[in-house]
Amino acid sequence: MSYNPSFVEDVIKSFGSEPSRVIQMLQDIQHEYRYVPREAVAQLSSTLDIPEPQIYHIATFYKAFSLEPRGKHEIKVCLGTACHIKGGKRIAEGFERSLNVKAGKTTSDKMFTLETVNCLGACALAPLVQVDEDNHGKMTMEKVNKVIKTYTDKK
Amino acid sequence: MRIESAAKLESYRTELLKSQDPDRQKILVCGGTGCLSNGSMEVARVFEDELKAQNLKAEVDVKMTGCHGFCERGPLVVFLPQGVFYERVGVKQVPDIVKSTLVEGGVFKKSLYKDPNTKEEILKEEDIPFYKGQLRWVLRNNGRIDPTNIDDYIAVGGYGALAKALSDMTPAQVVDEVDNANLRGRGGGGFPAGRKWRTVIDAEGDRKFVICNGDEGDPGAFMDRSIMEGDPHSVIEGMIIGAYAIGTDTGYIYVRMEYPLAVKNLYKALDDARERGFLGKNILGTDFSFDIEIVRGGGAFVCGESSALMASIMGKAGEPRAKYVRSAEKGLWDLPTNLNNVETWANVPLVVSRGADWFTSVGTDGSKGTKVFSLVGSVKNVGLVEVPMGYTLRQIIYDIGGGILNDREFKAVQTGGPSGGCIPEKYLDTKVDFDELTKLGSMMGSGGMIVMDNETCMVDVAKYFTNFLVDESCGKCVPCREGLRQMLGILERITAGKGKEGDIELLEDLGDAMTWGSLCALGGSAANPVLSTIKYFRDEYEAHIKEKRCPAGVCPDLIEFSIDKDACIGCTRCAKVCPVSAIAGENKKPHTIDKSKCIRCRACYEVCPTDAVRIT
Amino acid sequence: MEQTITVTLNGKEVTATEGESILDIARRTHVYIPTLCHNDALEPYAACRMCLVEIEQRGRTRLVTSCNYYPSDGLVITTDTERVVSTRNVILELLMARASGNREVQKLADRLGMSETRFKKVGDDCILCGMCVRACSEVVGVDAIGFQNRGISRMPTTPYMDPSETCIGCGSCVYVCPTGYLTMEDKDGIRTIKNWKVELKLVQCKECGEYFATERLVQFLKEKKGLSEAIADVCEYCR
Repeated sequence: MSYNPSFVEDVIKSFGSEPSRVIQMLQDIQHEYRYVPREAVAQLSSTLDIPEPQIYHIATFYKAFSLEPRGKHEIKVCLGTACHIKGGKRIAEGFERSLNVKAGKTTSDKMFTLETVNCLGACALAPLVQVDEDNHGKMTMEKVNKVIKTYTDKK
Repeated sequence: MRIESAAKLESYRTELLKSQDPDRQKILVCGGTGCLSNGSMEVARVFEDELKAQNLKAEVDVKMTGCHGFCERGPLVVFLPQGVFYERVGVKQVPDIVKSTLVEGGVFKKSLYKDPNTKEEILKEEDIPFYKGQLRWVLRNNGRIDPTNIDDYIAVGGYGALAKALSDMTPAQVVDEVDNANLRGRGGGGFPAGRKWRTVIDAEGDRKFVICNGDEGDPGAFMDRSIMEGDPHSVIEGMIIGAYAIGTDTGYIYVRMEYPLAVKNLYKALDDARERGFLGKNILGTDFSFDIEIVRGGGAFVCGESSALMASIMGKAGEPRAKYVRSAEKGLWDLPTNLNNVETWANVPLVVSRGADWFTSVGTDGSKGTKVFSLVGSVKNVGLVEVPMGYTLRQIIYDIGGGILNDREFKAVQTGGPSGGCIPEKYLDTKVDFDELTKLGSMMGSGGMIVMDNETCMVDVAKYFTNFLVDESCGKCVPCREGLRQMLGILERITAGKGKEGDIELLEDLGDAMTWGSLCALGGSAANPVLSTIKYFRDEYEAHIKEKRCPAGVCPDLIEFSIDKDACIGCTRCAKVCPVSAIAGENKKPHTIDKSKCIRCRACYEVCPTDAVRIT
Repeated sequence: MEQTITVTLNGKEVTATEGESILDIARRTHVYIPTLCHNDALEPYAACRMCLVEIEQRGRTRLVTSCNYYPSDGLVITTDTERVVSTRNVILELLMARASGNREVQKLADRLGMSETRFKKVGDDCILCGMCVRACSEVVGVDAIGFQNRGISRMPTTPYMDPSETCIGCGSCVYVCPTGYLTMEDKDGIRTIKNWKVELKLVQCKECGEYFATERLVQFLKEKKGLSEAIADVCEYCR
């Protein structure tokens, strides 16, 4: 998706061009582009009169944002306490092995970004893995490859 | 359609109730995040299809409700007016359920809840031990109403407290009521809400703010999620009443972005509330005006801390500030700001409508009312539990929770999230309230209650929480940032079998320095998981350090996996799931694990149907 | 009119004015409190925690950072209680582990009688005092640098760690850096600040011909600070 400055301008206006809303604006931009394009940081900086280093800090401080495009599918392995007790870490390692990628990174074919997250709030379904909007509860090592296949099969 | 006065609200409610037939057949399908993950949306759709097919569509309403709390048994479905409670309802069970319950006027036994201990089938929600022991005040509407329909909320009395406050009470009287009720903050601090409100009222500033802290970041906690998803109006009504009492016109609800359904339902609820005139200018025909804006979190646990949360609302990185001057006096933009947790706000309409005397009739001396807990981990009944303050840990874990999963042994219960501690068996009869848990070295926290059994390694638990905090520390001050890093390093050494004499004392010294020297409460409580596990489970630390042994059989570097030839039935499941092909064996013959290849991932242990995999 | 208050510092009664921090009061009365991230030209930051002291109020004792704690009347302050010393020493050990080669940390350790750290060395010279970022923002007003990430990956940098477009090469950051992590070199008419990947052209003084400031800095002084050419184009010796 190529960068569209008027989309970003609309986002800025939708929050009243209010500098204190910059984090909300970045979220809408992240949602649209699946990352925060460098041009967006520059545009936000000049429109809202916020120094670029400050926006850059926000974009790197909060986990919501990534500076590099995320894969087609985002796999989030929950490592909340309930999930950890039920083996969440091993599930994460299982995904790392199957996808041949470390948590936090995107596969070379750009299909999947694997992340570990701290508690998605569905603790009764521990261990939980969220892929895009879908929740896969009560994960086991056996299910890891099945889950991946569900999304590679989808075209 | 705006409601222009308290009297008009009453008549509106009466009209709604008149148009509602109490005997009307309803199918309530839980639409909380847990049940949605298990396909409850699809189940609801199939119910609609089935009703159409059976020509029952005109007489039956299918409604999606908020989180019932018994998430492990979802998707949950309740039939009213019968009160029949069905669990684990999949699309396959729908036709049978409709046939048995509606067409035949009976019940579909296969989908009823079966008590794991007594094995009996239970028909109604209120008879299920998980629900029976609860006192659902805050969760009163969860599972009963459609959270996206404001009329549902009004019909059960919603916004009546607001009407009472605006028409019969002065702001000072509202504060008095909240004060007399001794409503203490439900987010973890337990600070008296009334006192905080008074500080804001007395503080200087030409503008003031109210904030709802919906940044529930404690892993294992989902109370606030369920309230925001399942009964958003209760929070909104509480905030409007609070704004009236304090004298502000602007409020914020700060919600984790990891809760998209809560964000969605809150947006809808705010729109509906504005339409009815409960928000905006001249609320219920008075000269009180107030509105709320939603601010989404950016994925930072530290933003649950009030000063970091406010920095985030102001568009900055979530770095806390020293609280030598309270936010109640200088908060957002250095103006007086009242911040309360979701559950605290949800209690406010109850306090105002039923009164402080009613509220204080339940609870202990120091802690009144109820508390919602998320009971998770190794319990049979996992879910959201609301009980009066003063219930014991034993009552919650055994009577309501049904005891330990797989009948293993209880080892510890962790409360208060990463700022809390682990409580061992000898304190199971402790009454749960703010002060009792703090005395034990833990804290109530936001309500996360994680039950651990004998297969949990307490050093591993301490390492887990420390690792979590290393990731979430804002990094500004030395004791938290460097202290957590070093703490993790020491714990990693210990769990890898490289612990040294003196490590425990080093952890204790470090923990004390972090507790006393950190800039904010994240750093100030970051050592609690380590310090509390050392306090109650020192022997486990010593086993790891002195004997290089993990008594619970968890730490991968200190355990070995093997297969008991006599128990193995040769089903090959383990060999198939092993990610490094370390298991050899023919079909129906005992299998063996090649220890040099084994990475101790536990996959084989999990799938073995005969418990033939041994951990030593 | 600021109010006069009385506080007790290490057992002695001292008068102060409201709005003075404990650190201000201590310095004025020649009581030593160590600091690392404090600079009188900058807003207090309270990140290094070296200035911790013990206070007592309404029967409750706690440790607070003296740089940003503003006492009210009657506060009891003690600077070197056992609690303060043990907490501060551990924090210093943490700093020594992080920045083991660092001369400022070493100096402070020597002064406070600490020689070793029990913690594993990390080897990062920057102590995250934040003074570079704060100076660039609060004093100079250029905001060329800021922080990146959080927790242990937090560090001061230019956006995307790319060469800075906005740095004017004034050197304030290098000047305030207490640890030598930031460096600046002037050579052959070019000023290099490696950390921000800037190489800026220096200009010569209109009077004596010596290189004295960067082009960008002179531009900045003229445009943003309204300094006349007579002052901006001339080095400090010739002014």
